[in-house]
Amino acid sequence: MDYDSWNRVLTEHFFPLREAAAPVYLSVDDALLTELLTSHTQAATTPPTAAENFQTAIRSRVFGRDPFEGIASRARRWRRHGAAGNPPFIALLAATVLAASRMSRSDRFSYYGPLRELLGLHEGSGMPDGYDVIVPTLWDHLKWWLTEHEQGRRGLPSAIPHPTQVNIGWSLSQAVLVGSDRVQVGLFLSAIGAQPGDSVPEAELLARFQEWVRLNRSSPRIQRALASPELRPILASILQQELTHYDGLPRNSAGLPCVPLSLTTEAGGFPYGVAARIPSHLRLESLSLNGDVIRVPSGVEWLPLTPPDQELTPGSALELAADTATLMLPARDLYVLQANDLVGKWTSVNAAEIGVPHRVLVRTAFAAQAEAVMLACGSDGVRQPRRVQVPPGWTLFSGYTPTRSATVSGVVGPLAPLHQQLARLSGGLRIDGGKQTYLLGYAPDLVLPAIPDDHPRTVTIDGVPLPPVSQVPTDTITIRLAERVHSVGEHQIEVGHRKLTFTLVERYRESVALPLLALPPRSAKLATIPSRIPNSASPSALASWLPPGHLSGSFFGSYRLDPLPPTRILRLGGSIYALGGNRLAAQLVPEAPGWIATMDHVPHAIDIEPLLAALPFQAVWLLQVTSSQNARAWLAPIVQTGSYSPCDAPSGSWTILSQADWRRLTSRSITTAVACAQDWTDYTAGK
Amino acid sequence: MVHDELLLWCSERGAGSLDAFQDTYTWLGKGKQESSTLDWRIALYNLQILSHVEVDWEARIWGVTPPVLTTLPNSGGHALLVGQRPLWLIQRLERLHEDPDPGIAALAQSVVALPPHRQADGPSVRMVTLADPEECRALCEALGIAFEDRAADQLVPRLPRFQEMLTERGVQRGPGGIEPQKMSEGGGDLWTDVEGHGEPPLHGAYRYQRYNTHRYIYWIGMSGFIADKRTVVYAELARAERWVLRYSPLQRELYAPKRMQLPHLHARAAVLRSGLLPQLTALDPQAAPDRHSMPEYKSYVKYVNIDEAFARQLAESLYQKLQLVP
Repeated sequence: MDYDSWNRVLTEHFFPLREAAAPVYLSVDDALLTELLTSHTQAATTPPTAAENFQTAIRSRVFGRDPFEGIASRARRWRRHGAAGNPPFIALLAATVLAASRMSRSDRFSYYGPLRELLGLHEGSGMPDGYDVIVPTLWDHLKWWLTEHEQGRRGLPSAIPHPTQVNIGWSLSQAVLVGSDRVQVGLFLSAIGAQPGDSVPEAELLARFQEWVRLNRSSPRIQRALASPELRPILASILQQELTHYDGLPRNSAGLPCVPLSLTTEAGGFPYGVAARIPSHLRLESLSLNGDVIRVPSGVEWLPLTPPDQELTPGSALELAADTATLMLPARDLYVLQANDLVGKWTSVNAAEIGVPHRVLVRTAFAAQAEAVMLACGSDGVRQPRRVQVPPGWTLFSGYTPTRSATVSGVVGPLAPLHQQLARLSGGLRIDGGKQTYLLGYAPDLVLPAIPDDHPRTVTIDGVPLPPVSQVPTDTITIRLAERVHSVGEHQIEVGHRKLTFTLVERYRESVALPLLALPPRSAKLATIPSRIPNSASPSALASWLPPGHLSGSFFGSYRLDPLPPTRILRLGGSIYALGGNRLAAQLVPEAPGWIATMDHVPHAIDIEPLLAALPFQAVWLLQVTSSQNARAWLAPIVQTGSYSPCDAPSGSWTILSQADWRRLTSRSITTAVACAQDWTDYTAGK
Repeated sequence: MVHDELLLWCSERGAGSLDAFQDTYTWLGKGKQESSTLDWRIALYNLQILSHVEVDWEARIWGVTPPVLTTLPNSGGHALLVGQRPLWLIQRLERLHEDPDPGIAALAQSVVALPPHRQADGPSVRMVTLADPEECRALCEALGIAFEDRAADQLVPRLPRFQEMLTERGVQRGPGGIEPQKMSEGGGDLWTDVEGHGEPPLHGAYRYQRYNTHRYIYWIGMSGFIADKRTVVYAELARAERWVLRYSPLQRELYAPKRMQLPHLHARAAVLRSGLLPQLTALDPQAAPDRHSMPEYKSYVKYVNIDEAFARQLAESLYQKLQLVP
């Protein structure tokens, strides 16, 4: 391929149109060149062949006393004419990155040597003429093209200057991490609980990343970068940059989201499987794996997957490429397993949780160390299940339930709760799932995980610093913000340079919350398994959204049974009498039902039907006398007398009165409703 | 207190995952002197039978139910507030007489909110007193909540039979799982190990070990009906004609063995007669009174304010012959 072909292929590879505006790294190495040339020529290519082809193409444009001027001139013209087409300098920048990648592979920190070798500039040594002016300018052109001309549609610039190696830093920053390394950074940020918008000091990020790499056995490139004093500052800047643009999803160099995989197992032993944890904010409708299309149900959180043909064993990494995402299972020497109700199996997690039972699968070489840590984290003695078959060289523990955290590093680190976690908000009465909104009086706790001694804690709440906490810095500290924050509104917590915000509201709802679930009818009965309710009504609508036949979360549908027998309530006051035919009378002495007396000590009314049903005669009228001047009568409800057994009678009693009492009662001034006044007159007259 | 705060959170939040519920319940329990050892699942189950939430245990989500005032029979003019209790509603109910709506303020003359009555393992019972159910209905309409007359009595004729409950989930064909146990016919342990692999054909109630819980299946030959524990238990009781439900006409109380409590919808119907969760009790009248308070003697739970017709209808839906006790 000639220069323009390489330029086009590289531009299309690194800067296609994307959904998410994430930093893009022009990470070129010999492996990538081989891949691109093979793909372009449709013929198998070896790395030396690809390198030579690329080298030849670059040298066709970079030569002479001012080797970079030709491309610089084209760049100026391209930009002056509206930046139509591909930037003409991508291949040259890629060459500078390739030189940096070759430098970082060697033990010597020498850049210009490999660069000159690549460009064929064998005359002279050190920095080639014009490099210090033109190459940084070209990086600036790239930045302008990505941010202003393309508005982030093709990614965001990522080149970072080195604090001391000013000229070469740009290219060096692209060579520190490549391809799948980018995913490792995203997985690391996810593992420590980073949130979009978080800010963490570079030094702390780097220290945490170093610890994380030790557990997850990352690429040799990352390990070399961590071990190199020259590359560590660049790596720290890259981590900071990645955190700045972190949207909650690890992504690869092409911007595809990376879905973390977890190891799954029935009891800790064979067979092992994998399950993908689908982030709630990732819209994934399907996954195409090995030619199979797997539909992802809406709202699903866990998706069990069939691993590829080879038998999956602990300790091995797995990367599956689907069209719209990559799925990754890091290789580990220790797996912390939790019971997962959604998957129906024990599933590996990032770190143990306090109070939760775990199983632990660890390489036998670290088993004793693991057992010591589990003890240090306050668990009861763990066991080794005998009937579970684990791979040779591995040990399984069950019954690990930590009760506290501890500062632990190395392979056994994940056994400590909140291992590697950033300070975060936890608990509280959170009422908006998407935002940090809580009810007043129920603010969340601030959890400060155990950290190394050289990262002192300073905590401020709304700008007011908290008194230093005098305790062992290796302990986890929980600060109950509910005891310190008492006002409605937004509040800001600063832990060192990390900022966390949350909002308190006095109340969240001003109307009835629409129901999500209800028990549907099954002909005349009810189902016991709820269904989701499709709510299309406006949230501001009142009870009209309740379908007819709704009761306490259950729907009866349109089927209606016979109505309930009527009941009447009589407010207590004065004396109450039942008057029957033939001048029969009884004084009713109601009592509040015993079961409710404990809840309402002052009875105010009675259910009248049960009391009337217990009478030995049919009451025709009820008479309530509240004073010598006030008496009221009304028609008594018709009841079936004697329908209550003596044992079944409601609270209350009656006293049969004489006919003389009946005359006395009915001869006073009594108020009745107009509609039954004549009936009362007839009754008292004996009709 | 914890349970009241939990219901407040459910009411303001509206719906959520079981994980979120567990996290919130755990957090609320921290640092409380009355810290409860009640498992979060039971706390949620109690909210479910009190009719405050509906729960889909398989999908692991919960949703708060609409607020309803429902009259309580044989209560002397009380209505129970079930469903969600958002702050706006509770504050308004507690200040009805000061309500800016003059119609509501007038209704406050006859519908009065009572102080909450605390109960163990569940949110407080919230009731209003009323002299005329129609006034209560009018108040509910004005507040934008529902009113139901005697919800429990409306619910009981709609209770599904255990046969219907068994067929709601799928039918298991083939082995049910690992470590099978069969429901015993009596004795100390409800579930006993079985010989063999527990593979069909089988008859009766079985449970199988899953990774962290149990699975319950009622077998009829080669067909296994997957259901919740209580449904499977009552199916077995019906098959063996073991009558475990007791009723006291004098006390107007229904009793179920502590180990064989009612399926949740049946429990809800019984609970809605009083608003009170089932309470541990002893049934042995021969036991000395001082022994009645000892936990080991409280082998039953009781539901209060249950009349005999209601108890019989409920028992019949579970194919139980009600046994009368003093």
